[in-house]
Amino acid sequence: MARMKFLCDADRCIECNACVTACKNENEVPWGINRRRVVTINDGKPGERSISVACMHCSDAPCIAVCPVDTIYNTEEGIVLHSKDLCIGCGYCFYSCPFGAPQFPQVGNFGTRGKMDKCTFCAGGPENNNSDVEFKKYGRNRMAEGKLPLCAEMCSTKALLAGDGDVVSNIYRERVVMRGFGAGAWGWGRAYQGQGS
Amino acid sequence: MKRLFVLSCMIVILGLSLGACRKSEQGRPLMYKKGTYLGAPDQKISPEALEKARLGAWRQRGF
Repeated sequence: MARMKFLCDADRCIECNACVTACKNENEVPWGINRRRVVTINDGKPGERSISVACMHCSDAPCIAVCPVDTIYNTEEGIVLHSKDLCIGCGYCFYSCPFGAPQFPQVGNFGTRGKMDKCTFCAGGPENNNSDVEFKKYGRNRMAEGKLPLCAEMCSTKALLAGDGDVVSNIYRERVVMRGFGAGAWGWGRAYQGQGS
Repeated sequence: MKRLFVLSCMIVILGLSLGACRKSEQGRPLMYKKGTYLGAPDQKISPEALEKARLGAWRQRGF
């Protein structure tokens, strides 16, 4: 069993934001928090590309390394989850995450952060699977039902792939071969306008 | 006599306030081991559910 991974195919994403809506609806994510969002570069210009970004469930997650109270952990399936009971809302995970995945609700009059919230790969958290408590704290646990994250299941162009890393990479590899040009992904050269290779 | 009373009161107050520092009172770990998750354990996903998810991942291929 490989680790659970997301992969967004930038050649297929049409910036419809259905993944964002599906995530918010499925997990009843409150206002002000986006576990997933679509990022577009070169908007309205030639070479426009969009990708859907959320927690990438890193194998060596920087958020786990920096958390002062060790509230974030890796499951056996490689999903990065956290305990809201332990979180102190310090925000270190947000500073360390290259994808901006950890989100904080603004609670209180003085802008205190509250407990961290992020994509759970629709796998809930450290509560009984599919319990009310788990749903209220972390959202739906679709993985316990043998279902993939709804953002990927809802994606109409199948740009967003989710699941076992071996399967996801095989699907993407097949697409690359079928397209017959490059990986369809950007390198540093594209990201930084010609610099690097 | 008065000093003894104040002292015993202080001991009682100190005892009560320290009693609230126990792990069961706080409901969270008080001693951390760096790099070790000490929260509630996560319930495992059944092998059947994982296999179902794996098959589901393959279904994303057909588009």
